[in-house]
Amino acid sequence: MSKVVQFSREDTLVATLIERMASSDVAALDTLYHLYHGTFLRLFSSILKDDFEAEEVLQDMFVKLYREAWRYDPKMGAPFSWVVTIGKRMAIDRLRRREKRPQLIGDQMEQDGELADNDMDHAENPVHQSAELDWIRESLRGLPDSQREAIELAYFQGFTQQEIADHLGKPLGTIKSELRRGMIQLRKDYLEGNHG
Amino acid sequence: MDKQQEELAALYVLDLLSGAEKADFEKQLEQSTELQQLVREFGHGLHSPLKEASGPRRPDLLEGIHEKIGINEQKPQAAPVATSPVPWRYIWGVAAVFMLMLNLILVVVLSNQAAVRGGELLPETNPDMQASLESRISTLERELNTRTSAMNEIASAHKVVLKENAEIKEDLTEWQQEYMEMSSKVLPFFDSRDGMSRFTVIELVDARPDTGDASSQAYMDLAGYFLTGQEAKPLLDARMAASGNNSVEPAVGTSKPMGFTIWREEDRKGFLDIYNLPELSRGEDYFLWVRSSRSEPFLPIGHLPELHNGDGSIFYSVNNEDFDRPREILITAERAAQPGSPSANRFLVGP
Repeated sequence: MSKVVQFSREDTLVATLIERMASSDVAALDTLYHLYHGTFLRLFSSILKDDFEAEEVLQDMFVKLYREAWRYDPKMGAPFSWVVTIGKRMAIDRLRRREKRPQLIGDQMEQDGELADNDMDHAENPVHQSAELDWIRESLRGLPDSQREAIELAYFQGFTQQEIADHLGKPLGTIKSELRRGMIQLRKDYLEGNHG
Repeated sequence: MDKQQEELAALYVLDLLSGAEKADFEKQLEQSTELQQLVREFGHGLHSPLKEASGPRRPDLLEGIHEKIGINEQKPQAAPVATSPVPWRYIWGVAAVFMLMLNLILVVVLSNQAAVRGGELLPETNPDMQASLESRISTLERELNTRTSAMNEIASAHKVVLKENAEIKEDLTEWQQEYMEMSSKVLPFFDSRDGMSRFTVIELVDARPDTGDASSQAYMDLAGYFLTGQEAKPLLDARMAASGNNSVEPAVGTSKPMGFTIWREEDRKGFLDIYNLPELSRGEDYFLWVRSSRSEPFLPIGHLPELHNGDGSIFYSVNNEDFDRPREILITAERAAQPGSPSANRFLVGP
């Protein structure tokens, strides 16, 4: 059994729930769901801009968490981070599949404006400019623009390191450095209680 | 910790590592508690705002999750069911028993160490949630007690209302009985008008609902007047004038002398109400006479007190132990202070 150290109480609870889910404990799944489903529904709605799809991803995420709970290793990170990584990855996968999906002419015409907006967003600022994301972008506001933009592209758009570099027109090494410094600053804010 | 490890940790938390790069980093992570701590803190720094954010509550979606995992599913898919031939089952069985025993030994050995065990985490390391739940339960219990108390109060109030209703019903029954007794004692002592006596009036009022028309109102007023002895004529005059309906003119609304009496058996007294007696000649007074039957002579009662425009109400008694109750009444004009018999100057006689 893995040794878990220095977790917060909430993370300890989540770790326990994941461990119980690995033993097919549906009650643990229910508890985890009630604990976080609102948070993730909001996150997915922000990423996908579609409540129905957000609900589907939310359900798929908890199914995946239940079935793959045995994969979680406390040494690889805090349990909430593990949950967020799985959920965010699923939402971004859904977003990319949707963008690649062939569309009927009617659908295409209907969404021309939206796609044009999206293209513009990608061209000027690929992170959605919606108010829905303000609540989490707020936490990044203390970062220099270069660090914040790089983290936002990774976090909300699922861009790879190279895609971020290409998009921002900077060398890959610079991007890695920006990301490192940004994460160190967020960590510092968290430890000093300045987060959120 | 060097910058490269910090960088890899940052990329790992941002889910930007893939393939061999990620596998290599996880190997390092496995071996370095310092790196584990850094990854954990990076994760907190990045995700804590998300953890604190609230969103829409959709408990209904949980049912869909249950359906997707299968309600009877007991094993996660990561543990596939063996499809080996029969001998493998025995081998797996032996291995399972062996692993179980090994685990038991490990549990015993590790029980004295400070390791945190999953089964103990919830009750021991989550006092905030436990306290919150206990607080919630206490609140619900208090709410339940309050509502129970309120329900008891409502039930008590309901009982009081029922009791009061029963008392009112009883009072009403008593009043109705009293009304009937009083009605039976009304003695009309004038000729009926259009075939209706005062008894008829009371019976009519008692038997039919108030229709709101002038005649009905007049009858009701008369009935009330009979029972209470209150002045009814002005009210009737006003009502008849307002309605402009003179087709049914109540007796007390006319100028004809009239009156009635009620005999109170319990104290052997009579109540007399009279109307429209004309003014008498100087030296004359109205005198009241009563008798129990027509076969007997009238008994003298006394002079009537001063009337107001020919109207008045008096109580009278009969000083004769053999007297039963008045069945006929007479008002005459007399000059003598103590007349022995009624004069011929009669104004009211009845019934």
